[in-house]
Amino acid sequence: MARKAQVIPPPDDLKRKAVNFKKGLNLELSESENRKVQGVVESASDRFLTEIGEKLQGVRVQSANLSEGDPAVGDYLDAIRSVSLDIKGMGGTFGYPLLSAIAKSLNDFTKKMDTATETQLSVIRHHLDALQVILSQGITGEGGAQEKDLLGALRAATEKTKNGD
Amino acid sequence: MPEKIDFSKIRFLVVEANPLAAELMVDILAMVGAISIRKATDSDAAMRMMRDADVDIVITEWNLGGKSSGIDLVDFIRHSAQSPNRFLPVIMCTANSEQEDVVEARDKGVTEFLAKPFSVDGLYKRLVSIIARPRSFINSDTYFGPDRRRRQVPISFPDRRQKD
Repeated sequence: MARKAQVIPPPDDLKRKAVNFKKGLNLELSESENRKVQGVVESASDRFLTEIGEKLQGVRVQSANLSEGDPAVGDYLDAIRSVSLDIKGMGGTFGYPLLSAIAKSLNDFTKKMDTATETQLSVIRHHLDALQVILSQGITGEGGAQEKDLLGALRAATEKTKNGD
Repeated sequence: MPEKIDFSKIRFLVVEANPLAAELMVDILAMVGAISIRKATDSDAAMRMMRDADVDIVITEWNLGGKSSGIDLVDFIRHSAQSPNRFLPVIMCTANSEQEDVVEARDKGVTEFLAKPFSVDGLYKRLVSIIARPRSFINSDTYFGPDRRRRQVPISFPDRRQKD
């Protein structure tokens, strides 16, 4: 017979250790406290752009000479998944949500791929090109109408070619 | 006088394979006042660190270097006989942010889920929730972890689970 669920009272050791009325930060950050912490993110932004730029350059070089059936496609797809997940995960934090959105489209597209057709490789290249343009032009925020159209077109391309052709 | 959190009292372990993401998390924690912040790049190293030194809060990515993932780490914390503390709060801070990922993480017993890209405010709210408003734990045949129901709704009849 199934055992009945047991409810265990909340562990309060951290509360007893750290919550007080004298030292530390308020439970809700004030505007100035928030700005101060946000400054940490801003100061790491240049490093993010440099690192992502180098990683993108690496996969774009790999991408240039690749064709369907090439034994290197498996490793290439691993690299694409890794780079796209990194960009998806960090872009928005650093003020580049459009980078995150395009990287998400690329990551979703390649998530379950073992190999890729010529058309699929082309869709991947288009994503990489779009990421490169946004990065080099420093497009922060969601972008304008043109960028939204671009994202829509990339998503449509992944949907159309996800089964191969 | 409003309540405050002294983060210098809390010992953190950040488990993240991406060096920049790890450094960013460490810098944010240091900025709010944390002093004890350890880093691991994979779950095996994280498990070793937890056995070697006390940790109060784990912040882990799902995708880690090495053979096992952040979810395996949560499983170790909640279910392994070698776990240093089965009640250890865990924030899953990850780019795996589809609905099915959130459900899987929750069912494995994560305390908080923070989808990447994250905001400083989102991270801070989860830290406050863990430290200042800890949740009950549920121990059943199929689940061990924080109570997955967020709101405590007052009820007008005896709570059967409390009796159990």
